[in-house]
Parts: sequence; C-alpha cells; structure tokens
Amino acid sequence: MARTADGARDDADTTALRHVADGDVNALGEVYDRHARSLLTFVARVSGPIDAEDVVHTVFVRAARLAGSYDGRASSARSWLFGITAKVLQERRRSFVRGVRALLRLDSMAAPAVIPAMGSRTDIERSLAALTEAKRVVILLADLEGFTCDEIAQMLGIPVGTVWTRLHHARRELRNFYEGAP
Amino acid sequence: MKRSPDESARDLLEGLPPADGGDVAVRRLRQRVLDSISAAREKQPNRSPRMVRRLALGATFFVASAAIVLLWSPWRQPPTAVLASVQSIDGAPILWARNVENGIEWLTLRDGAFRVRIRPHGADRRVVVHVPEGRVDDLGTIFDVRIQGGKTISVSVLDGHVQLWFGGARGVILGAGEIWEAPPSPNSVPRPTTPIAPATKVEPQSAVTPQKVTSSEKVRGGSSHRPAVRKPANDDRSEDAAYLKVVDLLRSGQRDKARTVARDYVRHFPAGFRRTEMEAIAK
Repeated sequence: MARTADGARDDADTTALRHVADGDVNALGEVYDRHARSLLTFVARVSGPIDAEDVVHTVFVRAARLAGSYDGRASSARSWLFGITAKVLQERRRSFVRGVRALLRLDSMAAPAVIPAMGSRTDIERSLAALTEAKRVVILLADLEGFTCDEIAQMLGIPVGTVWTRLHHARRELRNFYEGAP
Repeated sequence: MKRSPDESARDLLEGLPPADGGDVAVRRLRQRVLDSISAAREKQPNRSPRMVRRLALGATFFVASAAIVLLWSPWRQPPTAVLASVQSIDGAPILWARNVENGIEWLTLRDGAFRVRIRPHGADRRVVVHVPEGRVDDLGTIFDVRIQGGKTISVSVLDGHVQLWFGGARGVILGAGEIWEAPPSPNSVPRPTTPIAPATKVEPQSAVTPQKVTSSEKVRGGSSHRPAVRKPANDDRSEDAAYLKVVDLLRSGQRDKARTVARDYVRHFPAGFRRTEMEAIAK
C-alpha cells in the first residue's frame, strides 16, 4: 500500500519526538519547521496576533518536556501539538479571568473585556472574532486545519457531540454575521 | 452547483489572510524555542530521560503517600477553614457575606452591628473586611463595626489592631481600646464643644469594652476630616501607649501626626507624667 505524504510526515514526527525525548534538542527544530506556521496562524486567529508567539513558544517548550509520553498512538503528532495548543490557550484564558476577578474584588473598577480586542481588519476576521473562543477554536480546527470531530474531541477533552454542536452553531453564526442576517 | 451552508462557511474561512507573522517572525521564534529548551536542559543534571521518568515516578509516589498520611492526621485543618467569626453585637439581624479564595478570606459587611473575631494565622492567610465605603484590614484582632443605612458608623477595636481604608480614615491604625466614628453629616446638629471637666472620671477599661470619651475637638466634615480616634483616660497603660505612639511617629518622621497625638495626650492626661514633653511637641 502506498504511503501518503501525511503518513510519511507522521513517521518523521514520531522519530523526531523520540529523539527529543532522548535529549536531542535539534530534533525539535524539525518538528517546529513542519508545524509552527499552522500553529501560529491558529493561535493568532483564536486569541489575536499579539500573544501568538508567546503561546506557540509555550507549546513547543511543553512538547519538548512531554515528548517522552508521545507514543505515536495518537492520530498524529500534528493533532497532539494542536491539543497542547488548545490547552495552553484555555489555561491563559482562565488565568486572565481569575486575574480580572481578583482586581474587581480588591477595588471597584470597570470590568475590562475578557477577551482582548483582535484588531480585525477584514469582514471575515470580524465575523470570526464575534464567535466565542470555544466555537472559534472548533471551527478553525475543523474547517481550516482539517481535523475530524473525533480528533478535535480528543484534543480538547470534550465529548464529540459537543464538538458537533459548537461547529454547527459556529458555522451558522459565521454565515449570518458575514451575510448580515439576524 | 449550490453550496451547502456548511460548505459556504468553509469557503468564507478560506478567505482569511495569512496570520503566521511572516518568515522573519517564524525563524526568530524557532531560535527562541530551541534556546529556551537548551537552557532548561542545561540546568538539569545529566540524566537520561528514562532515569528522569523513574525519579518522577518515585517522587510522585512519595508525595501521594505523604498526602495520604496528612489527610488522616488529627491536626489537619479542613481545606476551607475560616479565620473569622462574625456575630451580631446586639442580637439584631446582620447582613453580611463571606468568600474564601487563594488563602484570602473576604468578608462583606452590609448592615448591622458586627463583632468580628479573627483567630491567629500564618502569613499565607489574610482576612479582608469590606465595609460600604472601603475596607478594614485585620492585623490580628477582635473588633466591632457598626453599619447603618449603607454607611459605616463606627469601628472600635477590642484586641489587636486594624487598619482602615476608607474616606478620611485611609491608613489609620486603631489599637485596642480605640474607636473611629463617622463624622456627622453637614445637616446634623453641631456637637457640643465644652471641654471635659477635669473631675470627669471614666471607669477603668476592661479588655472587652472600650469606653467612649467625649472630646472637645470640633468634628470637621469633608475629605480633610481627621478620624475621631478616642483613647481611654486615666489609665497608666494608655498614657504610656499614647506617649510611645508619639515617639514612634516622631521616629518615622510623621511630625504632624505626632503633634496631633501629643495634643490628645495633653487633653486626656492633664496630670500626665510626660505632660511637659508632650506640650512642647504639641506646639
């Protein structure tokens, strides 16, 4: 059976991550070269371009630490990395919300927006920004990055039914916003 | 061929502009990632990943065992042990709320006459008491707070110290036996200004009930109002405490506050042992 390009890439990722686990830092560079752009794009679209480099930096540092636990049985290294990315985004968002709540308790002040402004320029970016972060993550993973709903459910640690629901609502809201429908 | 709604949404997303920051940003981040990981690994001793996993497993087992022992320990405190007890002073209903998060215990006092007791605790815990206008910080105390009509009427300390953070009392520290009272509203009847008769005796202070001493000082309204801090009279310990307070204020360079406390000393202790020095400071 002919091997697909994805299959060959998965093998290369698995081998590289095994080398990273054994202490070869340069092997992580190979994984980075294959996946960093799509991760940066994904993070920039979920939470804005300002923090995207920091988030992806955290993802690869964490991936290096966890490389020993990657055994290739996950669907692919790519979905494994996106799963780490989704977790990092979730942690940062929760940390930001906790910080805002603590400030509000210490003194009265106007509550800042929970999600920083994304500085969208185009209509489609604005329509994406209008979605909740949970829906934005799912629709980008499904419709731009090409992951299946099962893969997304595994990455995010949520039921696949939840993924389907969020995806359905996200697509409808995106369409309605862009087309100006109520 | 007509596109399905889902396909239409996907088509929209494919119109998104690039967002990876560009080649330079990607290359720069690559170097940063590899440098971080190299630096982190240099700090670790030269162990193989397998050894690291074994050590991590051993450490996890140890921590889990310690946790099990501690959970069954007789001196274990419940995870949500509270530091403050709040009661009504006069038996009337009181309105308040409590929240504990990250080692800080927040009490919000809304209405009524409260007796707050805060038990001794370590530096990792703290109690913050919110009153309508601000807060009262516990420095190890038993204190009373009276709130009426959404306004803090008085704070009096029975034991320990509190620090006030509202209105004209910002930063004021009250010790045992001291009382802060809210200034009267501009429309209220002015307070009498006759001085205390020297023969006026005040019963010796008990450790629980601070005495209120009438003062000849006029109460000024507005943000410049000085809190009406009252001290028990004719008590050697209070006289010493007042003197020491002046000394502390002078040592810390707070000359104006020292002058005010010295004047209080002269007023409350007309036959005080250190009257001469206090009169000199009060000028």
